[in-house]
Amino acid sequence: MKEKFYCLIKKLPSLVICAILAVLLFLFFVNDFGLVDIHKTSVVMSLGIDIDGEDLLVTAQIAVPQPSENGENTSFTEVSGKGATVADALNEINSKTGFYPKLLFCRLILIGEDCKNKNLFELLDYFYRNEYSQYSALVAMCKGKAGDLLKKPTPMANMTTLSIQRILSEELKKSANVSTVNLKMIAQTHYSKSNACYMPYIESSAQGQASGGEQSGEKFNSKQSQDSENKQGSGGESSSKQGEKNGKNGGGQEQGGSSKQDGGKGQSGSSSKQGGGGKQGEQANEFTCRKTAAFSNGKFTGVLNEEQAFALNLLKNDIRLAIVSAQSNGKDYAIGLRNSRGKERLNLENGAFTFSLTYSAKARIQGVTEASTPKKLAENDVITKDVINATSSAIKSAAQSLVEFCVKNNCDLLGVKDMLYKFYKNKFNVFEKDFLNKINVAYDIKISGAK
Amino acid sequence: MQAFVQSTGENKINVRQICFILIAFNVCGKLLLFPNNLSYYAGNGLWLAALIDFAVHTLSVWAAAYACSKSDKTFYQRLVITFGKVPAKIIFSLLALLFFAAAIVPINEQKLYVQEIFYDTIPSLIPFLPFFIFSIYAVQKRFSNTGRAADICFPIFIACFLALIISSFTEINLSHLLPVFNEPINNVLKSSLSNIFRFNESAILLAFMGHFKYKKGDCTKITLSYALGGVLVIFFCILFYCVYATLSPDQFFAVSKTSIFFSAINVIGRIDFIVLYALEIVMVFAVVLNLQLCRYCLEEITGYKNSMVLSLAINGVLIVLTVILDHKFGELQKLYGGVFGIIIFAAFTLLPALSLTIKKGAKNK
Repeated sequence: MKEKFYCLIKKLPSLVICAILAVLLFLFFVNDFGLVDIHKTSVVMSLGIDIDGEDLLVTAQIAVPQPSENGENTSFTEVSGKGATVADALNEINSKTGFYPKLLFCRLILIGEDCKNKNLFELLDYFYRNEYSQYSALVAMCKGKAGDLLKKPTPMANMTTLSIQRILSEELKKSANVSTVNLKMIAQTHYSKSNACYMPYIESSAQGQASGGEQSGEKFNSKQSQDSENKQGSGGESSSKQGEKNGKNGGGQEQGGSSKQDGGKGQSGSSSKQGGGGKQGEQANEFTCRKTAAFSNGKFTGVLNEEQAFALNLLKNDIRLAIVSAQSNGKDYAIGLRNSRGKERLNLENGAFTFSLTYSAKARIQGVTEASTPKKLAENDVITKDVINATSSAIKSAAQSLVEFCVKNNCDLLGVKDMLYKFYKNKFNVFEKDFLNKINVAYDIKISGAK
Repeated sequence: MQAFVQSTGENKINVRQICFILIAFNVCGKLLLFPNNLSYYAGNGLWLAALIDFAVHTLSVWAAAYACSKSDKTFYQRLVITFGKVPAKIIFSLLALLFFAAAIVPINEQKLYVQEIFYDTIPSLIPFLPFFIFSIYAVQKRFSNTGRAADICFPIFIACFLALIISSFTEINLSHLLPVFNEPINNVLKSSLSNIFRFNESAILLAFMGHFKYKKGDCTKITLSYALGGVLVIFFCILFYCVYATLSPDQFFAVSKTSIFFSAINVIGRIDFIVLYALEIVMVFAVVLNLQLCRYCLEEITGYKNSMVLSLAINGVLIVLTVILDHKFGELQKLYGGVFGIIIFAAFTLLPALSLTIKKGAKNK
């Protein structure tokens, strides 16, 4: 008897573990441990925030996985919700769709132009509070309504979100063409002593009937061909800017076909619509974001034009190859800038602060409005002093324009006040007020030939 | 004496394994909420707050290691020799309680970490409960198993920590640490004190006392290992602040946050999860160590050698506490970040100091 008891005691741990395992297995099968069936859920890929009267109108572009025997099959749709806060609006989306939108895969937040009068951090508050939203989500402002932009068909991808993400990509950021920022960067600069932040400003335009090419227009550095990496469309030259078309969809609940497109390369606007979320019959759009929206103290202060945005990108981002236009001897040059290094410094000299903007790069001719010969092409790396000077002055002029914008709008995009605090903390309280007007700005642009 | 040799014969650990514990387990226990909690009061001076904590506790670890060098008796045996059985049992009961108390916050941290990072929904407590199956199994194991776990965990930890640092490096901006000494010293000290309850490695060493063969220079090795762990934690705190700057106080579970901006993640997805899952293995062993030591103390006090029953008892209480404390982590942290945490730290620091004063006892043959 005693032996049996000891035997039982010895086996007790294994019995207890078996019992616990049985309970857990039972719970697993009855409750799925709270896991969600992928076919019964949807994934929010991007959110657009607009103002609708007193409320916020949030439009979610959602990927809906469809059961399919033939591999990947996803359809995309847009659902809108309204409320005093983003959380309220998402709650309404929840009630419309039957699932709670989790923002784990939300990689893009678009802010509509009509949100200008709202404090930016009132709009983004939800994303900083919600533990499931990723700080790496990209943030951008757009011309017109964000909800409308998300609904616009695009030839670049079968989902507008992906198309916009492409133009906000790291690659494009490294070409100084876009001021890509994410939730973290915005909050970081806003909560610094500079109290200012920026984000790309997206504009859309109708794509021509010909395959996707560049937009024409009075761009700071787009007279010349861009590096092929940076092109969104391949091949053709679309020239006819057909004006903005805010493609109105009848409600945000449409669910369309799902066949994936082949990146939209070389496809016509009409063919691109096939399977693109049920937006048949609508003009395809292409997006650009070479302008930058600026905010100070959480309030919208203005949009940097392409020249100013280019200067900001050169100074703030790690640039691999930037293209700048320069005119010399009556010819237009497209100059490629490599080994690009932008630096900002704040120095105190004789009781006055000098803010130095230093930029250095190796220049190489990428294109010129002149017919070339093989011999000239072989000397491509030899860049004349005139062209170098023209390039330097183009960059200097862009930087000056940027500084003027900052001073005029008291918007410290370059982080001068932050530098004052970091390097001259004891003088911060004295100089902080109206600091941008008190400083001298020095420009040091060093451009040299690539060889 | 023979009985002692028999009882500890299978309960041995070696110095290498202790060093691994003081590096890997020590660091892993401080990668979740320690950095952001430090930055809450200390701002960019979080490294200074961490430095103060580690400097103070390194002294304590040295004291415990030095005490280990003086005798090959266990801490309990030396207490019995010095004070007699009853006071020794009281002190060891206190130590058992301290180890148990020290395990509560890390386990709840782990629970929140698993729920928030590894699940894309808000799960119930149930998915975390299997942890206790592992815990019941691990807690009844002896020091030799703890040592083997440390041997396995150390290379995993080194590889993952390196991967984590490399994937976070592109996002750091050292200028966020400027101006240096920005926060008033009061805030830095407040930050140090509110997180000091996480430091109990000297008491771990006391529990290992007499269970490893001390050789000349081991005291230095042990102290330096702990200091190295401290350096790694401070380095990680700096890296964390350089990534998030003023947003740091809001970034819970720092270990999972620093690498999310790694460019490959955008392309391939959350590959950092491989590292996080691997680190989780080390973290789990680090968390149960306190419970193992609690079981060891109870065994010494009661003389009851069925470690599985003790493990079940300890884990049973812990499960009840985990259920009660579900959704009350804020209050728990406040409790530990206040006077209670300081008491725990004081006790964990005083015991090594006490170990220096107690009798060595005759050497075992």
